[in-house]
Amino acid sequence: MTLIENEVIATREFGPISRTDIVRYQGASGDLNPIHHDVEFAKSAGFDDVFVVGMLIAGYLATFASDLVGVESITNFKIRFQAQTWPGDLITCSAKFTRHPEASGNQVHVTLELTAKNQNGALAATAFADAQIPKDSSFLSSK
Amino acid sequence: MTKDNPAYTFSMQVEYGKYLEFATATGLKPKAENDNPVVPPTFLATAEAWLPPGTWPAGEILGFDLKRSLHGEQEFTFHKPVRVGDRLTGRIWLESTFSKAGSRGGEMRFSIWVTDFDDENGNSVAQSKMTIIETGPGK
Repeated sequence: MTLIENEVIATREFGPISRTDIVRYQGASGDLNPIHHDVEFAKSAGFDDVFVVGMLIAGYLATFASDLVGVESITNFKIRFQAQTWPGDLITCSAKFTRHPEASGNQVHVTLELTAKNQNGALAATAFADAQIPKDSSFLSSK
Repeated sequence: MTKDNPAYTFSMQVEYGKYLEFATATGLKPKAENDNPVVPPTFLATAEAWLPPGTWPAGEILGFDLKRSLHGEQEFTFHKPVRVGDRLTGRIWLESTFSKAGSRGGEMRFSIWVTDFDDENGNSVAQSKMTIIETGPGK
C-alpha cells in the first residue's frame, strides 16, 4: 500500500483508560493535580468524577506518532485539547500526513495530523507532529 | 519575565527508570538502556517531577484557581533529540497572558508558559510551551 497524503494512514486504540492508568501517568510525569484522581476534589470543582489528565492523551498520540515515523525523527509535537475524557473511555488515534516540498540532504519533512476521539466519536484532542525522516524511510515507501 | 529572567530554574537528569515508567504509562515499547534511547515527544512533561512538590506557576505567579484551570495546548520543539543520560537545565518563564470573555459568562484568563531546556554545554536542546486557561467563575 502506498501512502496517500491527506487520507487516514493509520489508526490505533488506547484504553479503555482505567483510574490506575491515570495514576500511573501522574506518578510518571510528576503532575499530581488531584482533579485527575481525587473524586471529592473533582466534585468540589463542579465535575461529576475525575477526568483523564490531558497529557496522557498527548502521550498516547506521541507514542502513536513515534511508532509511525520513528521517535528520533520528531522535531515538533503540538497538541490542542478539545474536550475532557473520562475513566472508561476508549481512545482511537488516527493520523494523516503531509509531505513538505523542501528537503535537506537525505531528509524529508513530513507532518502528521493526529486526532484522538472517544468511543462516541467525540474529539478529545488534535495534534501535529513534525518529523525529518530519511528519504528511504519505510514509512514513505509502504506500510 | 523573559528567558534570561525566569520564574524557576531547575536541573533535570534524564533517567532510564523515569523513561521506562513514562513509556509504560503512555503505551510505548521501551528500548534497552545501553542504546541511550531518545525520549518520546512528551517526555519533558516529567520536568515537573524535578520541581519542588506542588509547584504550579499559574497559581503562584498569576493567582489562577486550580479548580477552574485547564490545560489548553502543549507544544514541544526539539533542536536535537533528548536521550536517556542527558543532564538538562530548565528555565520556566511566562511568555504572555491575556483575557477573553468566556462563552458561559465571566472572564477567561490565558497564560503561556515556556520552558527552555539547555544541555550541559549551555546549548539549547528543546523548548516546551504550555497554555493554561482559567475559566470564568460560576457556570
